[in-house]
Amino acid sequence: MIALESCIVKNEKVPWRVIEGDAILVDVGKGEVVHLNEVGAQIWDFLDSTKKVSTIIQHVCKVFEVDQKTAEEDTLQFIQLLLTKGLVVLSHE
Amino acid sequence: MSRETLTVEIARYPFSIHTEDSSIFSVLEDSFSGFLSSKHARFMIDVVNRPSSSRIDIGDMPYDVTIGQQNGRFLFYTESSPSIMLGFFDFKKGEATFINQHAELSDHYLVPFLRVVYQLFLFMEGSGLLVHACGIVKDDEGYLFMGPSGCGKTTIAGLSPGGTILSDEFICIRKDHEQYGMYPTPWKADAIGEGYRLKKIIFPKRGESLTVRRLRPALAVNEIIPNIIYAFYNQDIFGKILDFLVQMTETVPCYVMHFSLTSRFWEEVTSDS
Repeated sequence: MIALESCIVKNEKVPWRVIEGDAILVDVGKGEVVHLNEVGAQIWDFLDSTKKVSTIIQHVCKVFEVDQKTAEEDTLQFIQLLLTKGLVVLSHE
Repeated sequence: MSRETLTVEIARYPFSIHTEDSSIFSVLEDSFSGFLSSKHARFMIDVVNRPSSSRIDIGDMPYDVTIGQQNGRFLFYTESSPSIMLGFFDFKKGEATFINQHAELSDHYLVPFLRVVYQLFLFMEGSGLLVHACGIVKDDEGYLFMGPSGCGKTTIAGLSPGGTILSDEFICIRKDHEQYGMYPTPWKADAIGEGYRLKKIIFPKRGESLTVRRLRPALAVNEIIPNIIYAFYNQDIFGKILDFLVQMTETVPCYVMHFSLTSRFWEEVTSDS
């Protein structure tokens, strides 16, 4: 599982658009389309620059008014999925 | 040999095809019957003869055909014989060339190439898409039923008395002055002629009873993408495709429809709700 102090950034090679709050991301390598609901799209939108995982979790807590434990579990799972699909990458800035 | 030119117009988008071979010209005239035009071409495709001793079976694109990019040009070649180029395409110059490597030209080889090039021009301009869909016109308005093989497109065409079927296979969508139109193409067309305002896009699914539910734009985009012909998973091109889809799905309402063979779906589909 990814560490809270790790930094991630959007993969620049992934075309994406936000449509009425949802997001569509395209994995051009695999020819796969990923649809993110409003929560996922909100996190994706927040990744406008390199962000620490812990900062993203704080953002989720604040925007969706959920407790720290829930935000951490859900966000880590989501970020892991994005990493596995190559939609975001670890940054060493 | 004389040089012969044919101008083809699909979805109000004219392009010309040049060849010095009269037999190729005849094949092209047959292929594009009903879609010939005298308008100024937006791009030009040259078909040249360069028979090769080794026969290549390219099958039906894009399964055996790879499209690469080099110095701003798109190159078409087979995966099995990457050293043999089938053709190339230069968007900036508005030119494409198909290299016929067979003793006789068959539209089996040329037509998919033309379709790819036409689609690429639409993609690059962000002005349209070729999709696998069934286009039906009712009261001069276009309804597009889109989905994979087996989802019921042909069934729907058969259950549409009073409607005009443009095609139950290939439809071209074009943006025109903030409106979207659907058009027949020379490829598996059931009708020729003008397009129609695209009123609704429907994704049919087989079901027990009839339900028609409006889809949010992002979900509609998700449904449309697998039905784009030659979607080219290329970063730059896909950005343009996404822009087109976002605007279209925010303008044209999209629905998912579950239906059975006995469904009277047209009342639901054409209602304004």
